[in-house]
Amino acid sequence: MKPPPPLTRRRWAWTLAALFALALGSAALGVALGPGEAFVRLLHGEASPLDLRVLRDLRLVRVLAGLMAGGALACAGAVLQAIFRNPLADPFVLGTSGGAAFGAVAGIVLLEDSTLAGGWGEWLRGMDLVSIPFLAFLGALLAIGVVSTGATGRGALPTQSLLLIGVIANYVFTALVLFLTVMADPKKLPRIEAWLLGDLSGGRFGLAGSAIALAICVGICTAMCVVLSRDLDALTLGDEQAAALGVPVARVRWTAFLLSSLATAIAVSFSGIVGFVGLVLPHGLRRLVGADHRLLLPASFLGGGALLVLADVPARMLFSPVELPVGVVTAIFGGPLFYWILRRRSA
Amino acid sequence: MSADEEKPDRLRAEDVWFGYGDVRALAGVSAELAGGEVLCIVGPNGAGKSTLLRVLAGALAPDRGAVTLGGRPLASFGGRARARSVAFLAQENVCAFPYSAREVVLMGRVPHVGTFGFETEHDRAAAEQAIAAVRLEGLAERAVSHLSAGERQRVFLAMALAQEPRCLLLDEPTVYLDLRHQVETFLLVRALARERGLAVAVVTHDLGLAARFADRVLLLGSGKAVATGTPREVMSARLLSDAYGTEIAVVPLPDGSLAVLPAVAPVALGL
Repeated sequence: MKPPPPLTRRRWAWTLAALFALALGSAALGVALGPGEAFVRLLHGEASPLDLRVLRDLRLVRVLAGLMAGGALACAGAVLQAIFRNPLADPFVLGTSGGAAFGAVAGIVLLEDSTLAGGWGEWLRGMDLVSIPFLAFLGALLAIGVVSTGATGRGALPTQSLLLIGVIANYVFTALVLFLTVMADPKKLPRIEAWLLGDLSGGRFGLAGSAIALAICVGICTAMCVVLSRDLDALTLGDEQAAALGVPVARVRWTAFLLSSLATAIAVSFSGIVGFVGLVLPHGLRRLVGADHRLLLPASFLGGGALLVLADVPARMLFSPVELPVGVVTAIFGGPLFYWILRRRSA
Repeated sequence: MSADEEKPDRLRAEDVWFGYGDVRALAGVSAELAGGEVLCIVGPNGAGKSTLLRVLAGALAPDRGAVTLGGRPLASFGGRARARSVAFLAQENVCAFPYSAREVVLMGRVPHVGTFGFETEHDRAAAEQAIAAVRLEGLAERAVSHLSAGERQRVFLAMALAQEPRCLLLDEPTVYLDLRHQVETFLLVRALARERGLAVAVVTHDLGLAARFADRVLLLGSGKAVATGTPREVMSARLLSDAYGTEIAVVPLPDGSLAVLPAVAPVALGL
C-alpha cells in the first residue's frame, strides 16, 4: 500500500470540497428520505403544515445532530489516536462516554421517575436545562475533570496514566450505569438502551439547539485543526522527537485532550454513545487521504458527519415504525465495509 | 575566540551537572561542538552519554552549568527557534501511522512552517535535498512503517537534515544497522560536517567506528569527562580499559586508523 503524496494546498482544498459536498448530499438525503411522503409533497408544493413540521422539527434536527455528533466523534477520535500514538484509540477511551452515560441514565431513571412526579419532578422537567443532554454533558465534564486531575501527577499529562485512569473511570461509570439500570422501572429500559447504543432521535434542544451544537462542534474541531495539526504529526514520532522538532509537547497534549473531550461530551450528550465512527472512520480516512492531520482532522469531521447521517436513514426506515439506534447501524453496516476497505488498500 | 562566540554552530556545555532524582548522571562535564567537526561521545553504559546529548539538545535542562548556542543560552531560544538550529535524533524511531517516507522528512520542516502552515517551495526543496543526501529517492513514496531498520534510520536522518540545522545530535544512530550501513551512516555524517559545515555529535558504543570517523572523541565515565581529544589521544588501551573496566586492545591499522577490540581471553568463567 502506498500512502498518498505529501499534502499540497490544492489537494487539501479539493479533498475537503468533495467531502463537504458529500456531507451536504447526505444531509439532503437525510431530510428527504424517511417513512411517509412529506418530502414528495413538499416538492409538489402541496406540503401541509404537518409535513413541514416533520421535515423541519424531526428530520432536519436529526440531520444536524448527526452531522454534529458524527463529525465531532470522528475528529476527536483522530486527535486521540495521534496523542496516544495508537490507531485503536477512540473518543471513548478517556472516560468521557462513561461519564455522559452515567449522567444521561441517571436523568432517565431519577428525574423522569414517576415517584418524583410531585412538585419537584414537574419543576425539574419543566426546566429546559435539566434535560437528558444537559445531564449527559455534566456527566462527561465530571469524567473529564476526574481523569485529568487523576492523571496530572507531574503536570505533563503522561499518556500511560491518562489511559489507565480513563479505562478505570469508564469501568466505574459503567458499573454505576448498570446499577441504575437494574434499579430502574423496566418501562424505561428501551430508552436507556437506545441512548447507550447511540440514538439521534433524543435531541431535545430542537432545531435551534441542534444548530448551535453543530456550530460549537465545528468551532472546536476547527480550533483543533488549526492549533494542533502539524504538532500532532510530529507527536506521532514520539514525545522526544516531537520536542526536538520544537513542539511544546505537554501543552499540545493538554489542548488535544481538553478540546477532544469537550467535542465528545457535546456529541454524546445529543446522540448517546454512537460507537464505531470515532474509531474506524479516522483509521479508514488515514488510508484514503493520508495521515497528515492538516487534512485528516477536517476530513474526519465531514466524513464522520456524513457517515452518521447516512446511517440514520436505514435506522429510521428499515423497521419503521420501530427506529433502530443509529449506533447499531454504523456497527453492522460500517464494520464490514471498512474491513473491506482496509483489506483492499493493504493488499 | 570572541569571534567564535557569535557562530550559530558553536554548541557548548560548560561544567554541566544533571541528576535524575537522586541519581547523578553528569557531574561537571564540558563539551563543545564546532562546525565542520564530528564529535563522538563514548563511554560505558550509564556514563552519561545520552544525558549529555539531551542536555546539548535542550531536551534536559542541566541542574548546574551552562549550555550555549552561538554564545546565547540555549534555554533562551523558543522550542521552534532552537529546532531550526539544533536537530536531535533519538536512538529508536518508529511511526505508528501510515506516513510516507517523504512526509516524515517534511516533518523536519515543522519548526519552520508552524502548526498549520503549508510548506513553501523552499521547504519542499530542503526536504528533497535531504532525501537526496541520504539517497532515499527510490523509497520516498513508501510507507515508513514498511521500511527496514536501516532504511528507516535514513528517513529520520533526512528529517533531521530537512530541519536545516547547524548542529546535528545523534544518539546511537547505528545500533540496529549492519556493518555496511554503519559505515555508510558515519561516512554521510562526516561528509555533512565537511561539506555543509554542520557541527555533529554522535553517541556511540562502537569504538572502532568512533576511532575511524571522529574528529574528536569525548570519553565519559561516571558522569565525568575522562578524556577528550583526537581519536589518537583518547583511544589508548589504558584509558579505554580503565573507563570500561575490561581489557581493551588498540591496534594501529595500515591505513593509519585504529582498531579497538576486546582483549579478554575467552576462558570459561567457571560458573
